[in-house]
Amino acid sequence: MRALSAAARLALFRLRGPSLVLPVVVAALAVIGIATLERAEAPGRAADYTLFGVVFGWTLPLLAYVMTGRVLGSGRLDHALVPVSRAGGNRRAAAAGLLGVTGASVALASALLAVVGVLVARGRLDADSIRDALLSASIAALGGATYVAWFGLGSLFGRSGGGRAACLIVDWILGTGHTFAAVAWPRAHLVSLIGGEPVLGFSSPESAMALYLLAAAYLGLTLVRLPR
Amino acid sequence: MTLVQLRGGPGPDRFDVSLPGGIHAIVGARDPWATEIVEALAGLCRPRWLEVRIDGRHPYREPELRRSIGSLLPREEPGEAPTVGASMYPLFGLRGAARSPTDALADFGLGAWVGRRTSSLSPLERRSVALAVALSLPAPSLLALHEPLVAGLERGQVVAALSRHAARGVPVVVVLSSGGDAVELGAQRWGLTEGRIFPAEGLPSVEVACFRIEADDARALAGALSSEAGVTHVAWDAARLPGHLSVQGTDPPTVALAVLRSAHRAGLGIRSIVRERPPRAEPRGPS
Repeated sequence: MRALSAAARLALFRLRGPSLVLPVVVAALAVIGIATLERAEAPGRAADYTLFGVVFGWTLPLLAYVMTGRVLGSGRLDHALVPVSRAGGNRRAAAAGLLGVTGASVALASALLAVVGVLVARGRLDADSIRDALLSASIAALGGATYVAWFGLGSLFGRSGGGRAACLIVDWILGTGHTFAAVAWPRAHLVSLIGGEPVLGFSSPESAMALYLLAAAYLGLTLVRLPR
Repeated sequence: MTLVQLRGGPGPDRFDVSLPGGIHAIVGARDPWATEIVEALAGLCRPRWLEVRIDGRHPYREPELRRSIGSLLPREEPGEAPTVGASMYPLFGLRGAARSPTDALADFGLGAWVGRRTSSLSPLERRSVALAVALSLPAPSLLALHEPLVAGLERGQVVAALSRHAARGVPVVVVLSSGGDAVELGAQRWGLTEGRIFPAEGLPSVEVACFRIEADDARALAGALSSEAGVTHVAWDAARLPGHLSVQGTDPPTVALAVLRSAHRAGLGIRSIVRERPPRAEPRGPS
């Protein structure tokens, strides 16, 4: 437990500062800008287009990628844990603490982006908009946390954790489909949850469950692959 | 007594080295593989070319073992908390240390640094903190240190601390660039070239410049010499040889100049300077 809490503190320390606020602000501005344009173009479908495009398509995975990179110091996960492992901390517990705090932070930022996207695209603050925003926020939070687990696993590959970039590319390429090839990547299930084509005919609860299972599997593989 | 084993080598020439308790100086700190050797000893990485075992156990895989390894890296990263103390407390907790970070730093006159901002520490000061932490371990299974004599702490204190640990049977592995430092530590010497560790027979012999000085006030001159960087050892025996000093260093002109500069600064007269044969250093090990 000491390694877990020490690593959680590390993550919180690394997530502070303007270099982290900047990507969140840039992402929020991008979402606001695109949502405003979508509302001007097609007011009836603006929220859908905003969520499919700028929120879940670009900013959510990129923000998760940037924030994970910030916490891991743009290197491998095991290198990022050196302050804790050097003092005798178990790397697996430390990784759980580090990725847990990062996942929670990204989930929060992603939920915020989804809320902003929906409300700006709809352009009004009624019960429907709020319900839609909250539902989108919950999906974005789950997606953000899943991406962090995915990028955490990727950070164990490559001399400088270059597997993380490969994970982003794989998700972008394979996750855009809805066949068997898409089932193992977060993007496909997120698209399905916000009203896109279902993956292998999964219902929404099944896709949500798939995301939970994927996050658990990514995290589990990460912990198994890390030495104690 | 703990036994450290290092096996491997990045090239075709393999080595198999066993290091029992005592001070072992691996001379070759500028070798490109030196950092990786220290990191592997501390259990921070597992290079494919090097296998490290401490009493048959792998430090990379065993957190319990890493807890008792003190290390000093060539480049220490800034502590990841607002203040030096705040960055050290959780890590001391992980080690189950009985002493506080304040006590550990105070041993080396750095107690006031606990409240300093981590971002205000220079790279040398970060190494000072890391070395103070490593030397404060109560019962280390290994000390793996890169250039501990130039980490910003007082040399005499560092030498004394390393000797104390070595006398208790702890393997103290120091990676140095100066063979003279190895002699000063009374260490078992090893060479390091292109990642290959080899016994000291392959190393050029280290010259220790030793001078006997006859001065008006030997005590005052000894005090003045203590701040000279090129001087590694000053001995003064008031009972047997009053008015005489024995001064050592690795570079003869530097030592001689240091003596003259110190005498001039302190306004002391020097009657004679005689070059002597240096005493033979015995490898320091457990008593």
